[in-house]
Amino acid sequence: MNKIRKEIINQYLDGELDYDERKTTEKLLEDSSEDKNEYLLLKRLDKNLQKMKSKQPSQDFTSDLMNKLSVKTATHKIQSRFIIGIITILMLPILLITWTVIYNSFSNYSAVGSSIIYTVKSNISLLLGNAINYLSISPVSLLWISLSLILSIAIYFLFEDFSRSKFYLDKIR
Amino acid sequence: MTTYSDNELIKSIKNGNQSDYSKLVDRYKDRAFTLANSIIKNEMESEEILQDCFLKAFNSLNKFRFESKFSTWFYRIVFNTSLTRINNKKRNTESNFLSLDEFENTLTYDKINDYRKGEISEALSLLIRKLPNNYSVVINLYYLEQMSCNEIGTIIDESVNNVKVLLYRARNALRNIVFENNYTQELL
Repeated sequence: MNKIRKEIINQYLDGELDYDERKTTEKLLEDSSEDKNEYLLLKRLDKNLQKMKSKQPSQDFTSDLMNKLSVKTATHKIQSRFIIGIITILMLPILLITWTVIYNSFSNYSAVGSSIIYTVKSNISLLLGNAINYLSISPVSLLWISLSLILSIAIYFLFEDFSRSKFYLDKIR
Repeated sequence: MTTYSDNELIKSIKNGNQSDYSKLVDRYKDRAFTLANSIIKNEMESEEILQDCFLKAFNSLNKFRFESKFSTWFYRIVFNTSLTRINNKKRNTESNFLSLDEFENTLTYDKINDYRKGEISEALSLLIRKLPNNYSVVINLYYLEQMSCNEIGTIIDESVNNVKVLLYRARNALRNIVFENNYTQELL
Protein backbone atom coordinates (compact mmCIF):
# COMPACT_ATOMS: atom_id res chain seq x y z
CA MET A 1 0.00 0.00 0.00
CA ASN A 2 1.44 3.36 -0.90
CA LYS A 3 2.04 6.16 1.59
CA ILE A 4 -0.60 8.49 0.15
CA ARG A 5 -3.35 5.89 0.52
CA LYS A 6 -2.22 5.20 4.08
CA GLU A 7 -2.35 8.90 4.85
CA ILE A 8 -5.84 9.22 3.37
CA ILE A 9 -7.03 6.28 5.49
CA ASN A 10 -5.59 8.00 8.60
CA GLN A 11 -7.30 11.26 7.68
CA TYR A 12 -10.57 9.39 7.12
CA LEU A 13 -10.17 7.82 10.56
CA ASP A 14 -9.57 11.22 12.20
CA GLY A 15 -12.59 12.72 10.39
CA GLU A 16 -10.50 15.28 8.56
CA LEU A 17 -11.88 14.72 5.07
CA ASP A 18 -14.69 16.70 3.49
CA TYR A 19 -17.84 15.10 2.08
CA ASP A 20 -16.50 14.33 -1.42
CA GLU A 21 -13.19 13.02 -0.12
CA ARG A 22 -15.02 10.80 2.36
CA LYS A 23 -17.16 9.33 -0.42
CA THR A 24 -14.09 8.66 -2.57
CA THR A 25 -12.30 6.98 0.36
CA GLU A 26 -15.32 4.83 1.17
CA LYS A 27 -15.36 3.69 -2.45
CA LEU A 28 -11.64 2.95 -2.22
CA LEU A 29 -12.19 0.87 0.92
CA GLU A 30 -15.01 -1.07 -0.72
CA ASP A 31 -12.91 -1.89 -3.77
CA SER A 32 -9.71 -2.91 -2.03
CA SER A 33 -9.71 -5.55 0.69
CA GLU A 34 -6.12 -4.64 1.60
CA ASP A 35 -7.13 -1.02 2.24
CA LYS A 36 -10.23 -2.11 4.13
CA ASN A 37 -8.17 -4.39 6.40
CA GLU A 38 -5.71 -1.61 7.05
CA TYR A 39 -8.57 0.74 7.91
CA LEU A 40 -10.22 -1.77 10.26
CA LEU A 41 -6.90 -2.45 11.97
CA LEU A 42 -6.20 1.23 12.52
CA LYS A 43 -9.77 1.74 13.70
CA ARG A 44 -9.39 -0.99 16.34
CA LEU A 45 -6.04 0.46 17.39
CA ASP A 46 -7.62 3.91 17.63
CA LYS A 47 -10.49 2.51 19.72
CA ASN A 48 -8.11 0.74 22.10
CA LEU A 49 -5.92 3.83 22.38
CA GLN A 50 -8.99 5.83 23.38
CA LYS A 51 -9.56 3.39 26.26
CA MET A 52 -6.09 4.01 27.69
CA LYS A 53 -5.92 5.38 31.21
CA SER A 54 -3.46 7.88 32.65
CA LYS A 55 -0.73 6.47 34.84
CA GLN A 56 -0.63 7.75 38.37
CA PRO A 57 2.29 8.94 40.45
CA SER A 58 2.65 7.65 44.03
CA GLN A 59 -0.15 8.31 46.53
CA ASP A 60 1.95 10.72 48.61
CA PHE A 61 2.90 12.81 45.61
CA THR A 62 0.78 15.87 46.44
CA SER A 63 1.58 15.88 50.17
CA ASP A 64 5.31 15.44 49.45
CA LEU A 65 5.21 18.28 46.96
CA MET A 66 3.30 20.63 49.26
CA ASN A 67 5.76 19.83 52.03
CA LYS A 68 8.69 20.64 49.74
CA LEU A 69 6.92 23.86 48.80
CA SER A 70 6.46 24.90 52.46
CA VAL A 71 10.12 24.19 53.18
CA LYS A 72 11.19 26.16 50.13
CA THR A 73 8.97 29.14 50.98
CA ALA A 74 10.11 29.12 54.62
CA THR A 75 13.78 28.84 53.60
CA HIS A 76 13.36 31.75 51.22
CA LYS A 77 11.76 33.90 53.93
CA ILE A 78 14.50 33.03 56.45
CA GLN A 79 17.23 33.76 53.92
CA SER A 80 15.74 37.13 53.02
CA ARG A 81 15.34 38.05 56.70
CA PHE A 82 18.94 37.04 57.41
CA ILE A 83 20.33 38.99 54.45
CA ILE A 84 18.35 42.12 55.41
CA GLY A 85 19.64 41.75 58.99
CA ILE A 86 23.27 41.44 57.84
CA ILE A 87 22.92 44.42 55.49
CA THR A 88 21.41 46.55 58.27
CA ILE A 89 24.20 45.58 60.67
CA LEU A 90 26.83 46.41 58.05
CA MET A 91 25.17 49.71 57.18
CA LEU A 92 25.38 51.09 60.74
CA PRO A 93 29.23 51.15 61.00
CA ILE A 94 29.49 52.35 57.39
CA LEU A 95 27.22 55.28 58.23
CA LEU A 96 29.19 56.03 61.36
CA ILE A 97 32.56 55.86 59.57
CA THR A 98 31.21 58.21 56.92
CA TRP A 99 29.98 60.53 59.62
CA THR A 100 33.36 60.47 61.40
CA VAL A 101 35.23 61.22 58.15
CA ILE A 102 32.90 64.12 57.39
CA TYR A 103 33.22 65.33 60.97
CA ASN A 104 37.01 65.38 60.79
CA SER A 105 37.31 66.97 57.38
CA PHE A 106 34.72 69.64 58.08
CA SER A 107 36.05 70.55 61.49
CA ASN A 108 39.60 70.86 60.08
CA TYR A 109 39.06 72.68 56.80
CA SER A 110 35.81 74.51 56.76
CA ALA A 111 34.37 77.23 58.83
CA VAL A 112 30.85 76.32 57.74
CA GLY A 113 31.67 72.69 58.44
CA SER A 114 32.89 73.60 61.88
CA SER A 115 29.67 75.36 62.68
CA ILE A 116 27.62 72.36 61.45
CA ILE A 117 29.76 69.99 63.49
CA TYR A 118 29.47 72.30 66.45
CA THR A 119 25.68 72.18 66.19
CA VAL A 120 25.70 68.36 65.92
CA LYS A 121 28.16 68.11 68.78
CA SER A 122 26.10 70.35 71.04
CA ASN A 123 22.96 68.43 70.16
CA ILE A 124 24.63 65.14 71.08
CA SER A 125 25.87 66.76 74.31
CA LEU A 126 22.38 67.95 74.99
CA LEU A 127 20.99 64.48 74.37
CA LEU A 128 23.54 62.58 76.34
CA GLY A 129 23.96 65.32 78.90
CA ASN A 130 26.00 64.57 81.94
CA ALA A 131 27.12 61.14 80.77
CA ILE A 132 29.76 62.73 78.52
CA ASN A 133 30.96 65.07 81.22
CA TYR A 134 30.98 62.36 83.86
CA LEU A 135 32.92 59.81 81.73
CA SER A 136 34.97 62.60 80.15
CA ILE A 137 34.86 60.96 76.70
CA SER A 138 34.26 62.50 73.30
CA PRO A 139 30.80 62.26 71.70
CA VAL A 140 32.31 60.26 68.80
CA SER A 141 33.79 57.65 71.13
CA LEU A 142 30.52 57.43 72.98
CA LEU A 143 28.71 56.88 69.70
CA TRP A 144 31.14 54.10 68.78
CA ILE A 145 30.65 52.45 72.16
CA SER A 146 26.86 52.63 71.81
CA LEU A 147 27.06 51.32 68.30
CA SER A 148 29.22 48.37 69.31
CA LEU A 149 26.69 47.53 71.98
CA ILE A 150 23.76 47.79 69.55
CA LEU A 151 25.64 45.73 66.99
CA SER A 152 26.46 42.99 69.50
CA ILE A 153 22.83 42.76 70.56
CA ALA A 154 21.61 42.80 66.94
CA ILE A 155 24.06 40.08 65.91
CA TYR A 156 23.04 37.98 68.91
CA PHE A 157 19.33 38.24 68.01
CA LEU A 158 20.01 37.66 64.34
CA PHE A 159 21.83 34.39 64.98
CA GLU A 160 19.29 33.38 67.62
CA ASP A 161 16.52 33.92 65.05
CA PHE A 162 18.51 32.02 62.43
CA SER A 163 19.02 28.97 64.65
CA ARG A 164 15.33 28.97 65.66
CA SER A 165 14.32 29.12 61.99
CA LYS A 166 16.70 26.27 61.21
CA PHE A 167 15.10 24.22 63.96
CA TYR A 168 11.64 25.02 62.53
CA LEU A 169 12.78 23.99 59.06
CA ASP A 170 14.15 20.67 60.33
CA LYS A 171 10.83 20.08 62.06
CA ILE A 172 8.68 20.59 58.95
CA ARG A 173 11.05 18.69 56.64
CA MET B 1 -18.42 20.98 46.92
CA THR B 2 -17.64 23.88 44.58
CA THR B 3 -15.15 23.18 41.85
CA TYR B 4 -12.92 26.13 41.17
CA SER B 5 -11.62 26.89 37.71
CA ASP B 6 -7.87 26.92 37.07
CA ASN B 7 -7.84 30.70 36.78
CA GLU B 8 -9.71 31.15 40.07
CA LEU B 9 -7.23 28.87 41.82
CA ILE B 10 -4.24 30.68 40.29
CA LYS B 11 -5.60 34.06 41.40
CA SER B 12 -6.07 32.70 44.90
CA ILE B 13 -2.51 31.28 44.96
CA LYS B 14 -1.16 34.61 43.73
CA ASN B 15 -3.00 36.24 46.64
CA GLY B 16 -1.04 34.07 49.05
CA ASN B 17 -3.24 30.98 49.51
CA GLN B 18 -0.46 28.50 48.92
CA SER B 19 -2.60 25.53 49.98
CA ASP B 20 -4.82 26.01 46.90
CA TYR B 21 -1.89 24.87 44.82
CA SER B 22 -2.56 21.30 45.99
CA LYS B 23 -5.90 21.43 44.14
CA LEU B 24 -4.11 22.32 40.91
CA VAL B 25 -1.53 19.60 41.55
CA ASP B 26 -4.24 16.98 42.09
CA ARG B 27 -5.97 18.10 38.93
CA TYR B 28 -2.96 17.73 36.64
CA LYS B 29 -0.54 15.31 38.28
CA ASP B 30 -1.79 12.14 36.55
CA ARG B 31 -1.79 13.54 33.04
CA ALA B 32 1.50 15.36 33.50
CA PHE B 33 2.98 12.19 34.91
CA THR B 34 1.94 10.27 31.79
CA LEU B 35 3.49 12.97 29.63
CA ALA B 36 6.78 12.97 31.53
CA ASN B 37 6.82 9.18 31.58
CA SER B 38 6.30 8.99 27.83
CA ILE B 39 9.58 10.88 27.41
CA ILE B 40 11.62 9.67 30.37
CA LYS B 41 10.29 6.09 30.34
CA ASN B 42 11.12 5.58 33.99
CA GLU B 43 8.40 6.06 36.58
CA MET B 44 10.58 7.08 39.53
CA GLU B 45 12.53 9.61 37.52
CA SER B 46 9.34 10.94 35.93
CA GLU B 47 7.88 11.54 39.38
CA GLU B 48 11.00 13.39 40.45
CA ILE B 49 10.90 15.55 37.32
CA LEU B 50 7.22 16.22 37.85
CA GLN B 51 7.92 17.49 41.38
CA ASP B 52 10.53 19.85 39.93
CA CYS B 53 8.07 21.01 37.28
CA PHE B 54 5.35 21.76 39.84
CA LEU B 55 7.87 23.72 41.95
CA LYS B 56 9.07 25.56 38.84
CA ALA B 57 5.47 26.36 37.86
CA PHE B 58 4.70 27.63 41.37
CA ASN B 59 7.70 29.96 41.28
CA SER B 60 6.74 31.23 37.83
CA LEU B 61 3.04 31.61 38.59
CA ASN B 62 3.48 35.38 38.86
CA LYS B 63 4.56 35.39 35.22
CA PHE B 64 1.40 33.52 34.16
CA ARG B 65 -0.72 36.08 32.33
CA PHE B 66 -3.87 33.98 31.70
CA GLU B 67 -3.25 34.26 27.95
CA SER B 68 -3.27 30.48 27.51
CA LYS B 69 -4.77 27.62 29.48
CA PHE B 70 -2.86 26.67 32.62
CA SER B 71 -2.76 23.07 31.36
CA THR B 72 -1.05 24.03 28.08
CA TRP B 73 1.42 26.29 29.92
CA PHE B 74 2.19 23.60 32.49
CA TYR B 75 2.48 20.73 29.98
CA ARG B 76 4.98 22.86 28.08
CA ILE B 77 7.10 23.12 31.23
CA VAL B 78 6.85 19.33 31.72
CA PHE B 79 7.69 18.65 28.08
CA ASN B 80 10.74 20.95 28.00
CA THR B 81 12.06 19.83 31.39
CA SER B 82 11.72 16.16 30.44
CA LEU B 83 13.44 16.71 27.09
CA THR B 84 16.30 18.60 28.75
CA ARG B 85 16.72 15.80 31.28
CA ILE B 86 16.71 13.08 28.63
CA ASN B 87 19.19 15.00 26.46
CA ASN B 88 21.56 15.53 29.41
CA LYS B 89 21.22 11.89 30.35
CA LYS B 90 21.95 10.78 26.79
CA ARG B 91 25.06 12.96 26.63
CA ASN B 92 26.37 11.63 29.91
CA THR B 93 25.62 7.96 29.66
CA GLU B 94 25.11 7.07 26.04
CA SER B 95 27.68 4.32 25.87
CA ASN B 96 27.38 3.01 29.43
CA PHE B 97 23.67 2.41 29.37
CA LEU B 98 23.29 0.77 25.99
CA SER B 99 23.15 -2.66 27.57
CA LEU B 100 20.65 -1.42 30.14
CA ASP B 101 18.36 -0.24 27.34
CA GLU B 102 18.47 -3.68 25.79
CA PHE B 103 17.63 -5.15 29.18
CA GLU B 104 14.70 -2.75 29.50
CA ASN B 105 13.52 -3.93 26.05
CA THR B 106 13.31 -7.53 27.14
CA LEU B 107 11.64 -6.49 30.35
CA THR B 108 8.93 -4.59 28.46
CA TYR B 109 8.12 -7.46 26.15
CA ASP B 110 7.99 -9.84 29.12
CA LYS B 111 5.53 -7.49 30.81
CA ILE B 112 3.42 -7.38 27.63
CA ASN B 113 3.25 -11.17 27.69
CA ASP B 114 1.95 -10.92 31.25
CA TYR B 115 -0.73 -8.56 30.04
CA ARG B 116 -1.74 -10.72 27.08
CA LYS B 117 -4.83 -11.90 28.85
CA GLY B 118 -5.20 -8.84 31.02
CA GLU B 119 -5.62 -5.14 30.56
CA ILE B 120 -5.19 -4.08 26.93
CA SER B 121 -4.63 -0.44 27.75
CA GLU B 122 -1.76 -1.35 30.08
CA ALA B 123 -0.11 -3.42 27.35
CA LEU B 124 -0.59 -0.63 24.82
CA SER B 125 1.03 1.84 27.24
CA LEU B 126 4.06 -0.41 27.39
CA LEU B 127 4.25 -0.61 23.61
CA ILE B 128 3.93 3.18 23.35
CA ARG B 129 7.06 3.41 25.50
CA LYS B 130 8.91 1.70 22.65
CA LEU B 131 8.06 4.52 20.25
CA PRO B 132 10.41 7.47 19.69
CA ASN B 133 9.78 10.33 22.14
CA ASN B 134 7.94 12.67 19.78
CA TYR B 135 5.58 9.85 18.71
CA SER B 136 4.77 8.71 22.23
CA VAL B 137 4.21 12.32 23.40
CA VAL B 138 1.77 13.02 20.56
CA ILE B 139 -0.09 9.72 21.12
CA ASN B 140 -0.39 10.39 24.86
CA LEU B 141 -1.52 13.99 24.49
CA TYR B 142 -4.02 13.12 21.76
CA TYR B 143 -5.55 10.02 23.30
CA LEU B 144 -5.09 10.47 27.04
CA GLU B 145 -5.43 14.22 27.33
CA GLN B 146 -7.79 14.41 24.37
CA MET B 147 -6.04 17.53 23.23
CA SER B 148 -6.54 19.05 19.81
CA CYS B 149 -3.67 19.06 17.31
CA ASN B 150 -3.50 22.82 17.83
CA GLU B 151 -2.93 22.49 21.60
CA ILE B 152 -0.39 19.71 21.07
CA GLY B 153 1.41 21.96 18.60
CA THR B 154 1.67 24.72 21.23
CA ILE B 155 3.16 22.31 23.75
CA ILE B 156 5.72 20.63 21.51
CA ASP B 157 6.38 23.74 19.42
CA GLU B 158 5.26 22.29 16.09
CA SER B 159 2.73 23.41 13.49
CA VAL B 160 -0.73 21.80 13.41
CA ASN B 161 0.11 20.01 10.15
CA ASN B 162 3.31 18.60 11.61
CA VAL B 163 1.37 17.33 14.63
CA LYS B 164 -1.09 15.60 12.30
CA VAL B 165 1.77 13.97 10.41
CA LEU B 166 3.40 12.93 13.70
CA LEU B 167 0.13 11.43 14.90
CA TYR B 168 -0.34 9.51 11.69
CA ARG B 169 3.24 8.22 11.79
CA ALA B 170 3.01 7.35 15.47
CA ARG B 171 -0.14 5.32 14.92
CA ASN B 172 1.46 3.46 12.04
CA ALA B 173 4.64 2.83 14.00
CA LEU B 174 2.56 1.43 16.84
CA ARG B 175 0.61 -0.74 14.42
CA ASN B 176 3.94 -2.05 13.05
CA ILE B 177 5.22 -2.88 16.55
CA VAL B 178 2.00 -4.76 17.27
CA PHE B 179 2.38 -6.69 14.01
CA GLU B 180 6.09 -7.42 14.33
CA ASN B 181 5.62 -8.89 17.78
CA ASN B 182 2.49 -10.86 16.94
CA TYR B 183 0.24 -9.04 19.40
CA THR B 184 -2.47 -8.50 16.78
CA GLN B 185 -4.78 -11.06 18.37
CA GLU B 186 -4.44 -9.59 21.85
CA LEU B 187 -4.20 -5.90 21.18
CA LEU B 188 -6.20 -5.34 18.01
